[in-house]
Amino acid sequence: METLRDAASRLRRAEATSGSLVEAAFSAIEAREADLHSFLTLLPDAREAAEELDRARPEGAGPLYGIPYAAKDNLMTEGVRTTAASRILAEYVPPYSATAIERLTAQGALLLGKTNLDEFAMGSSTEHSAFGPSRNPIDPTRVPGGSSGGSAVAVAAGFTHYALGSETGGSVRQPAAFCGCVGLKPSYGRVSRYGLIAFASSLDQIGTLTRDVRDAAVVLAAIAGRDAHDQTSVQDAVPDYLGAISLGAKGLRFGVPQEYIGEGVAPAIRDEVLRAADLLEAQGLTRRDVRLPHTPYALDAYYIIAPAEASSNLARFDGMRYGPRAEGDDLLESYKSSRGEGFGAEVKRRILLGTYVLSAGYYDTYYLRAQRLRALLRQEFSAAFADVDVLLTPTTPTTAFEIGARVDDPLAMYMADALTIPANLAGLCAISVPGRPSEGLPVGLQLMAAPMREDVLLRAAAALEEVVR
Amino acid sequence: MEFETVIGLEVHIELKTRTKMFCSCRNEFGAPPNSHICPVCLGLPGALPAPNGAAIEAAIRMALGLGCEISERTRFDRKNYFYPDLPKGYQISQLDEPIGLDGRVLLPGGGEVRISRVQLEEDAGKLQHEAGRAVVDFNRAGVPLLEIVSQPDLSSPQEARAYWEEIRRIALYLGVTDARMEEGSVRADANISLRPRGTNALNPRVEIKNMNSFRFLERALTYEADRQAEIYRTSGRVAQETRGWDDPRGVTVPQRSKEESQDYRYFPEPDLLPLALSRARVDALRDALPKLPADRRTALAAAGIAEEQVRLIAESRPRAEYFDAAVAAGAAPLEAAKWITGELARLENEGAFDVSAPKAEPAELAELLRQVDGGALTQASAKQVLAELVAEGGTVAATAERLGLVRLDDRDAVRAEVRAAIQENEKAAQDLRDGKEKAMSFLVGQVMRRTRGRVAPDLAKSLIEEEIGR
Repeated sequence: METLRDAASRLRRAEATSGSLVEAAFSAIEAREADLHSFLTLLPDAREAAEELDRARPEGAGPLYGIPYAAKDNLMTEGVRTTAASRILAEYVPPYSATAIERLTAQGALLLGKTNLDEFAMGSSTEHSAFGPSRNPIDPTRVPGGSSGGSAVAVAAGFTHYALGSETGGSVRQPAAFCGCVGLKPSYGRVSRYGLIAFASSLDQIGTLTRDVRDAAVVLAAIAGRDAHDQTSVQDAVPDYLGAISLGAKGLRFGVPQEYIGEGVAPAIRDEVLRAADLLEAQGLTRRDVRLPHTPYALDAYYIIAPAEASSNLARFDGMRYGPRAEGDDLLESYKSSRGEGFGAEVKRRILLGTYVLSAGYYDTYYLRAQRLRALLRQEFSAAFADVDVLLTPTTPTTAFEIGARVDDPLAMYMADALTIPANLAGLCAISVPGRPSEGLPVGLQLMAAPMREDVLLRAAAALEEVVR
Repeated sequence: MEFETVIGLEVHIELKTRTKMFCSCRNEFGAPPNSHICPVCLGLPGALPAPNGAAIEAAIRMALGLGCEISERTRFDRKNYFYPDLPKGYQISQLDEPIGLDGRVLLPGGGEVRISRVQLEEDAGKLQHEAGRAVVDFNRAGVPLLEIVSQPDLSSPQEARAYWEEIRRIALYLGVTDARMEEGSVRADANISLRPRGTNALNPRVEIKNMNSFRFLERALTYEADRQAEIYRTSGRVAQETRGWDDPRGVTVPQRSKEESQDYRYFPEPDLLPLALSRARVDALRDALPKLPADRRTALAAAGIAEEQVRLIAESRPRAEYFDAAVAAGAAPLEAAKWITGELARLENEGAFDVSAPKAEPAELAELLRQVDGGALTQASAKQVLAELVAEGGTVAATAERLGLVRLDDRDAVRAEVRAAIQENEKAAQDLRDGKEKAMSFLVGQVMRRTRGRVAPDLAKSLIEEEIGR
């Protein structure tokens, strides 16, 4: 499938126009969207916007100019309905755009539509969307993963060259793995979260879904960097990622932590990781042993911290200033009805969980202990990254599961993120690159690097992509 | 049984900053409803707070002014509760690591109140009921708010009031607030309980919330102390509860509070990084603090100034600084105090004099006092010159000259005025000859009228006596 960079060079050589790219996208969507349901909103005036971009195309337009993209529907888009796949925001039209969206717009990128997700990004299959699930383009009986499922589908099905997603515990990498595309989660603080509907503020990060690693580098460069609206965005200058990739990966040190290929990981996936490790070694990367013994506790810590923050972040959806308000006999009844009717079951489950762990008398037992665990994980990673530049692991324990298989079993659903969550807890950057498929289904290979070392991560990822192909 | 009253106060002060605590909306009272709002202070999905450095600095200065220890690291926390005036469903506040800890305030009447903490937070919107529905103005949402929590060191409603007034005075000295009571920019919650005198018994306390007037506070606490004493006397139990002050009825009433038995589920605000406050920065801010009311009062009293005048001068920073400047320019402290709390205060009350932007410069007050002392101006002339300076500015010399108020010292000229006064008021002169002393002051007054106060009263008197031959 065509990369973003190839599309950009066709535009540069005038072999295509923004208008023709939008037409191609719409006909691809026309052909398969009814099956796949990747979009919640398509922009009706995308064609006019493309024409305008073609007319106004400047000399030396950047690599994103005029190329349509999709954005997960939890990113604020001024004047364009933004739902978080929730009934409570079903008709919500924001008055401002997320910083990442603004930065893309400023570079001439063309928003084609808003993609489906698990409600408020809570889930691993998009089955928790209030507007119905998305389907995996490789096998539509299976889930595309989540929560950025719609974005992964749009990229994997050939609708858009790239899409923005968001991560809290693997919501970009896991659907990328399930759909066979590249999913990048930047380090915490690398991309401004301003305008991303908060799920768990200390874990959330906007990420990219692309068709190869270099495209991820291009899109990341476009959205990364300090934003005065987000105090947690870092000051560090944004490196030249494509330039870094061109250095090659020879000499980089990597490790395959045993904790990520043990029990619960499908043998075919483990074998693919080990094959990839051999191939990287053959390419001149150095393999080192690393141990990350606290890994098994990451999921527990995550399912305390993330719901705790979510319970607070979602308090603003009270039916008072926006969203449907259910009238009640008194204020409390109105709150209960508005939120009771507006939120889906998984969101309620996490709000309950989060409210519980923050309650007086339980805070120390749960929240504080989880934070201590998180600190331990960070230390452990930090020590590991003294020995290696990147860690190679599977992205997911299994390939894409069938629609309906886990929707009533939250714990089984949560396991889908077991291998991606540690990177979020430690603020690392991480990427999922497609490996060799297993029984026709995509397999994701994950690389993780130290915070703010996207340059190293992308170098290794480009090499990995090359060798496993 | 004799009871003593135990009171602690939480004072809230809205900081006067150009913009709000976490966004760039204007911090301005009285604008049309919902005209200063944005995604951040309205709590729209996806919006994030960006802290206002000026508010943090003002908070540090106020905490320093209250004698607090400033934490080297301060942090924001989320206080979670639902209310329609609270846009995000939580208030960004401070729990474990507030800006200031362990301060103290010296009251004007003596006595020290310990401050347990000073924390920075954001104000909520304003919920109003009109025409049978509730509406919210979010202009106030996100306005920086300082919460100052005292220890339960206050032993009477009067002391509680004096403490609150002193906090407000310090804040005004530091310029961190407008402290407009009528705009609700200074509010207080009080905790009050009683215990048998001389014991350390811990009895249930009643919280009286959201008072915005000193008078209400004093009345509410007085009522509440009596109410609790009465309950104990009839061997009842005081319920630990929140009550509100019903001013028209003059009673406190139980309140179904929005916070009743609430668990705020505090946790560290993940959208904001902990703030490092360097020693050097805090020291620089401390060094730059102005002289504060308590120091002012001590210095004034030490100069021998009367208590009431001390109180009046220290009441406002501009007045205290005016006093300092006048003394620095050579005015005798006691005289300066007398004039500033007398004639100038009267002109201030009339709205003729603004001590924060004085047209009558302090050096001119010093000059005025010098001329009075040296006899160049009479008291009466000096008042006229001062009134003119206050309105027009300028120097004492030029003003006295222009108004023709330079003292009439020429005995012959004064004698002429005296004779004229006696001629015009034969009856009074006769009365005086007959020994009616009242007539003397009348005649002196007539001389003053004729000379517009330019004659020294003693001189007028002695010449009158000469002229009527006593």
